[in-house]
Amino acid sequence: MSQTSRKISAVLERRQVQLPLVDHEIARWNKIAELLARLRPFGVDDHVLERAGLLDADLSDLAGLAAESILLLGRVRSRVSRRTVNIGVSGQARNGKSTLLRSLSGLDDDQVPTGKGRPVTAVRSRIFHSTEHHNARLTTHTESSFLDEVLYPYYAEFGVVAAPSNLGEFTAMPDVLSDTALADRLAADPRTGPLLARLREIHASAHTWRRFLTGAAVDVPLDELRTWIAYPAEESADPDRRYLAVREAVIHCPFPRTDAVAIGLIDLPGLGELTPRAEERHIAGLHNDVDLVLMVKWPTDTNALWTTADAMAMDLANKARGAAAMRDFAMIQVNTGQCDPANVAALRADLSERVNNRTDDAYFRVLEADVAVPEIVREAVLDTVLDHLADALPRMDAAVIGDAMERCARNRDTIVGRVREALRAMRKVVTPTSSETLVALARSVQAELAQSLQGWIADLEDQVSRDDVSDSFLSRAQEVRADIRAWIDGGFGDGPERWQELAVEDFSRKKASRPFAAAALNGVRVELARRLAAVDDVLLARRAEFWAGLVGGLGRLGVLCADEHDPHTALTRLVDVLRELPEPCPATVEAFEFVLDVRLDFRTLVLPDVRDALQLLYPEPPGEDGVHMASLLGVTHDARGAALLYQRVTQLARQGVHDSGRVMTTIPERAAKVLLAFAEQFEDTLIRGKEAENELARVVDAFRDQMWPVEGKADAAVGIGLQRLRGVLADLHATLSDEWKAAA
Amino acid sequence: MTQPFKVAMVGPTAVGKTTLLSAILDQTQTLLNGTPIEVAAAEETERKLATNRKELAKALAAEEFEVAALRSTQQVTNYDVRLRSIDVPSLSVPFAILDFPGGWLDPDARAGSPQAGAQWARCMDHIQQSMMLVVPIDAAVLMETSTGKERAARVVRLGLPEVVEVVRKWARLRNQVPDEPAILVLAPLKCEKYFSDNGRDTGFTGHELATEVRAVYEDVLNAARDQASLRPIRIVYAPIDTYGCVELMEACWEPGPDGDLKLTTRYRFRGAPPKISIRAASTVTQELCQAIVTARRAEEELDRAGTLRRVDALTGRRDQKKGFFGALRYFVSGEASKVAAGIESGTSRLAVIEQRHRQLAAALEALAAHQQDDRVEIW
Repeated sequence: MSQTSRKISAVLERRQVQLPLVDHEIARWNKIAELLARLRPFGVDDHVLERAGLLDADLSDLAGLAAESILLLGRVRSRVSRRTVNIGVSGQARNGKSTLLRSLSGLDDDQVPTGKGRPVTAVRSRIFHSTEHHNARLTTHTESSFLDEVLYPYYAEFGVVAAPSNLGEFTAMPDVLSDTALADRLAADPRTGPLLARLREIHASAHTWRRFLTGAAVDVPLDELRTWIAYPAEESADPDRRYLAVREAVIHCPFPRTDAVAIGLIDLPGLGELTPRAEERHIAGLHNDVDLVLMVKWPTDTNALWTTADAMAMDLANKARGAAAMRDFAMIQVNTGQCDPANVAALRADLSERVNNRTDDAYFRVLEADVAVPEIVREAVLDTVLDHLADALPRMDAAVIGDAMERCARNRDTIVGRVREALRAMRKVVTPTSSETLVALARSVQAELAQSLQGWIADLEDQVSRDDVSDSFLSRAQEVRADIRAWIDGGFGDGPERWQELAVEDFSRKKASRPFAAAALNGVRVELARRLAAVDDVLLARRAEFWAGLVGGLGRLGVLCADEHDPHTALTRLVDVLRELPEPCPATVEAFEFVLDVRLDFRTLVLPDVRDALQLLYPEPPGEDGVHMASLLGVTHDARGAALLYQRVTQLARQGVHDSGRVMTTIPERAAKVLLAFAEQFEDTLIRGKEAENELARVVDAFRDQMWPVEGKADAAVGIGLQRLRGVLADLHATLSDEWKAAA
Repeated sequence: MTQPFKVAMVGPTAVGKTTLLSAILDQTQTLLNGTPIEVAAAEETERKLATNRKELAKALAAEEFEVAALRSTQQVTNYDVRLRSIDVPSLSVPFAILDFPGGWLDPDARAGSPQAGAQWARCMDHIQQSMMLVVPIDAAVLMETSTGKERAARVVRLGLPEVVEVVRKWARLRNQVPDEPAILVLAPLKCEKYFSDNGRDTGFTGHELATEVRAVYEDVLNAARDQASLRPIRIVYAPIDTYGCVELMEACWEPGPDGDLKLTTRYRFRGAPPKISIRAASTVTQELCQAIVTARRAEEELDRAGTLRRVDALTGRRDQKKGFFGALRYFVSGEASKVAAGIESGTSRLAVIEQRHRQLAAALEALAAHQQDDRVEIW
């Protein structure tokens, strides 16, 4: 191993050592960014941030500083995590970039195509020395990344906002732009015309690339690589543009120079190519992947001088070098192959005059070589570059890493300063203790609960007088009465004739009509009361609605019902949960048990009144009524008497149904009043009971996490977010200062 | 010819106005039993009453009481009744009761009815002169509602808008004659179910009915009070049992031919055999008698006082042949008896006539003074 190789290997090893430290630093900054993000919700409620002297704009600034630090550290990480020395090959298209890469890598025209007169490499490649692997791994686009990275930049370049929203839409379009007038205008423009033509090529060849948009990594043998990364031949009638589907190619192959240290060759996107955002991608590549950039310049007859385009390309390198010295980071490679020496001399003179301020290699080292000859390239280019890097890499690493660390430290100081100011401001603000917090939370729940329960009660109050609420019950009651009347008209279950036959038989047996009549009336009375209870189904449904309304009005307490849909089950579950609390809440439990115990059936509501209405059917009522009844039940002991008795009992029964029906019509209002009374009593107990506040505090204490699943909201609810804010700021301060000191 | 005391009656059809009149006469007759005074109806009126009684008798015999069986009319009916001396029929206090459809107050309705066109002017004349306006109320329609729709239909079935208009009109006209009596009788009929004082404990005390009448007829009461700015109107609440032996058995609101809900009712007899037990019907006669007696006393007071102004007033009134004071002077204050005496001049009957006149006057006084039914309230 040469001295150079050893030096470079040492640099790479030193880099590896720094990786954990950089990772640690990145983690710390990520935490800082996360803590800063946690400050943002405090700006939403209660103006807590303002009280700490922080504004939303401050948060944005601080977050920007953290983001910048993370970005800088990311670049450092890219640098120190490299296991190769990466040489980026840049330059305007058609200057011999690919030829240089071939000479350096040993790949041939099938893998790194070169062409005459037009650019041929369509995909950005990274080529690594490997004696074990001899293949290319292609990463393909997903449809989404294709849209974002390939298609949309064109539309953005054209100033078209309404780009196709998906690939299907794009391929189904008759042309790439629906606005033909715009298309004509763009086509006529020398800057956009070629871009439009390129987009149309993409559109026309969709059948050749679209199927590869899987996002998958594809391993391709090197002899098949060309079709994946090169532009198709111009003469092709149906050009295969599958290269469009390839996002990146990583090629492993044995480099001819076997003693080479780990080298990576980075084919930077061709400058001046007809693709949008070319520069942006170029810089990104320089930033993340490259230790040194070789700018290839081929001084042909028409390209012998250092042009503005060349200067701009160099400027990109300048922008990407960061803290590294330009002379360390970039070199100009003059490709002397097939060139008139006069042109080479002219370029040399021009570089010396205009680039290096008349002092050779003052700012850029200029190398000269026929890049098509591998042997020359290895000696005149690679050896020189590696020698340079052996000395320059440690300088560049120190400069880049040092600069990043310095800027991170400045950012940290700025953030620490603001956090300290905020903490100082907060010291002047009184914040509640944890027990005060709990009480405040309980009160907020109580206030919220009182409000929603009062809404529920207002609804129930409204229902006392609402016709539509009673109508459903009344129509059910009408059905029930119609059923009972049908039973009466059907001879009380026996049939009119049979009833009268039985009556005559009884008259004969007892020589009296009244015993049978009395028994008949008693039977009818009992049966009526029983049958009227059929309205209970509507009442039970009404009660279920009542409970559902309550569950709906529980607010945060409602989380204790879990996701039970049946309101009774939900409330029962809540009661169970409350019962199992470590700190008992007997009054609250009792309030819920009370409201679960509401009785809303026919018997409870109106049976006494119905019994009164059915007094009519007693065979021997007291006083004058008794005289009337006796006169009605005394009939002759024959069929005529039985028919008369049947008529009278039927009339009495029908009146019994009617009179009890009157009572039934009072049920909706009574039910509504009962529910209202239960609701009011429940609300009174829960909100204003002697132990109400204490018990609610216990519930809040036990279920705080469930009741406020979103962090910070609980505090906002009682206006004590300051305490939380102080906690976050303290964390931030510790992360920024104490740990840093420890690390230092 | 001097005209009788006038009474107007307005209410929906089929409420039982003929039955009401029959009950009024029957109960008044009961009160007069033992006196030489009787209640008599003119021939036409008697015929109507007889038809009504016959139908009731049939129903009693069949023990099946159907309201629909008692015919109702949609036209003007005049009832002429009088309190008269049994043996001197020319001595009497006559009453003309006009029952007219309230709907006729609507000019459109009148235009559509030939009978209305012919009789409306006479109706108005009668209403204007009526010392009493009787508003019969179907108690079942009033009480047997439970839903909002039924309560809305009740307004139509009770003819409330028409009743309000008639009362307003009558009260306004009465306002023009502040010295004459003005009595508004609200008379719920078929009330047996809503009282427990006439044969059966129904669970109702009567209070419920009165409350409902006050609420539902509030506009009627206000119309009477608002219009009578110059004089009070005596408002009498008289819930009447025209039978006493029937009781509402079933009531059902169903859509009627006009689309609005209509109440179908069925009644049953309370005992076997059913016994008629009228309540509060004589209130109408008693109130009339009381008004007449009061007015007569006032006239006599004026006579005695004899101040110039009052004499002038009296003279003016006595020139009237029509109207209340004409009837008062002629039938009650002695002119009729003088006429009768003139006819019988020089005979031994003269003393009898004078005695009968005194008896008639005494009967009026007695009826006026007779204890009102406990149910009756003065509002």
